[in-house]
Amino acid sequence: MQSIQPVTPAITLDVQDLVVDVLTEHGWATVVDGVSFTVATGETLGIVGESGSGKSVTCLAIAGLMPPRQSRVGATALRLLEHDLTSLSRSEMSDVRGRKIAMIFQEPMTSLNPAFTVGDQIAEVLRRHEGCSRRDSKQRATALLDRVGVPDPARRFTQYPFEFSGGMRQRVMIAIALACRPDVIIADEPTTALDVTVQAQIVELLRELQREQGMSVIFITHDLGVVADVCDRVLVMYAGQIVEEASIDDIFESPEHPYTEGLLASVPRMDLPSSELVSIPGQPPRVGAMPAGCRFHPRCSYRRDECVAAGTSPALEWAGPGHVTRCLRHHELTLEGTT
Amino acid sequence: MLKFVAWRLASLVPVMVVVTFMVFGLVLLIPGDPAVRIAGQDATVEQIEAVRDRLGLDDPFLVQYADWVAGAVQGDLGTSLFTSRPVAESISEALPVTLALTLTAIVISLCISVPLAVLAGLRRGTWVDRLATLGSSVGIALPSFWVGLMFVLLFSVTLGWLPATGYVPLSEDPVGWLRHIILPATALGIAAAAESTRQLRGSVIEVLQQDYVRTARAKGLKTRMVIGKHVLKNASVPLVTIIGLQTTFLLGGAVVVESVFGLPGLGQVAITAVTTRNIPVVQGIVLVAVVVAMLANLLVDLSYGYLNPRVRLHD
Repeated sequence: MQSIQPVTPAITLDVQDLVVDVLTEHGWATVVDGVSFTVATGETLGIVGESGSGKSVTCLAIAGLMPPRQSRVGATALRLLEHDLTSLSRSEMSDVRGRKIAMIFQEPMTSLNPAFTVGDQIAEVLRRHEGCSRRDSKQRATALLDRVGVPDPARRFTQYPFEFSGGMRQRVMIAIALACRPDVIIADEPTTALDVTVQAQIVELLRELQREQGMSVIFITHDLGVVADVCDRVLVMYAGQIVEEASIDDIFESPEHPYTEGLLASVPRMDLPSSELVSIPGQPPRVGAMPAGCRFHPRCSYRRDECVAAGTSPALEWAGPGHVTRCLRHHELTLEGTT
Repeated sequence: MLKFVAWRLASLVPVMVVVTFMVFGLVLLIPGDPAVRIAGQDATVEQIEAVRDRLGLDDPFLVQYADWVAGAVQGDLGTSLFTSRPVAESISEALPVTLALTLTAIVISLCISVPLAVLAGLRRGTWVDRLATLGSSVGIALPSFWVGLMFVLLFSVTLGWLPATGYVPLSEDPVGWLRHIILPATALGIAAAAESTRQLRGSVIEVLQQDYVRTARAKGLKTRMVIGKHVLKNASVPLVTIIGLQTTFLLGGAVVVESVFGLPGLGQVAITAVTTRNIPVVQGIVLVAVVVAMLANLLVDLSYGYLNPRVRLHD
């Protein structure tokens, strides 16, 4: 599938037909299968899906962070502004990482090195990419700590990660990601491990920083509430494929894929009287054991013979302007969104 | 940090008291009367009694112990029973040789084990890894005196590159010193290297899977920074523990290797003293060995504070 961004401003990141295989006990297995998308400058793209849907692997592969001997990454195009990421050597890729493309991970408790001060871990990015002296990098790192809302930054600079709370550590991770003013920040479930009140603060901080710096953000999450809050556009991933892509309003109001409908239905609602929790029946397929035909069919309540008969998974089809789905029956189905 | 060091040093005092008490007591339990040996086979009872009186052997145990400790604190470890040469003098002559041998063995073991373990950990499951694992099993199994003999055979006898025996102090001739120390130190260091490689390989593999290593890569750090800084500092904790334990074993192993290579170290002095029941010398050597081992462990504890900041703050 080609990029579906209609009339876009500048494209920051362009991913076409990304395929990632990983080495399992039973040999090579495809975990990301033909993923294509673009991110416009200043845009926030959400990627949602269950664990194992390939959303994190997609982003690790873009950043060149998949382990070399245990994985294979291929793509027809992988462009970050003027850089063709597929043609870069490992050393050239490391020049891009941390400077043009930065990452924030899910586990702030384990993502910082326990043996070095927080300040050093921020400052070393500046020393690596911008050739800062020790003193300059310290000054700038302290300013970054201040910017991400860490109180008393000069003192905090010399402290170790274990002296920080989860929320404060995630702020440090954001400071590290932000240090070189990257063009894209990939935030991989940045709030999942945090308390709800802290989650809101971190999301707010990311939004603020994005407005301020005009960078693009890829927000990986399984929390549709956060998606509604921060994203302009959403990719829904299932079993290594994109199954639906649409603007934030379209996804919530008129989903075109039964899986998306299931995800929306499983968000607990406080405003409706029927308070029973809804979930999608069954389990996502295991890696290397994909069902024939549509990969979602074993769990889909709208399934017909044609969904299985095709043998291969359906292609992405237009369902409206800027809206694609991988469902054969999307014309006949009227799926329920939320309002 | 200073408080941490002071506290650790102070905690050595009770350990020293217990250890010296045992050292002193155990040696007195050795069968045979030193007074009889010194006075000679044909000595009269009066002559033996005189010797015993001169050495204070008739004093109560605690008095003898107190005298010995009082002397030891001032650097006086008594005199040899046969040559009346101060024990402290023999030891201070031989100790540098043994320390040089042990330290060089540790350095050599690190030079072998660190690169090998990092490579094996990074290339887990490849031929490099298998070779390193096999090599460390072999290295642990080989006795150092045998390795030493093989080295002499190959490098001294067959190739004639290095001297087989003897010693030159570092201060007199650094190159000569190195030529004399390199074979025994390598023979001694190989087993240590094998053990360190095994340990460090395991912890490198474990640390490589940590999230913060992924963070370091995501920052765009060069591989040598990711490995040399972020991985090695965390992976070194178990290695340092091993080195601390090895120091004691290496001191023991040095005794054997010294006799293979004819080095005038503590080992030679110890063997002579034990076979002749020269008790003050044996006591002095054991005491020095204990002090060296305790200092090595203190260094290990201090490096924990450096490697793991949490230890430092909770003193």
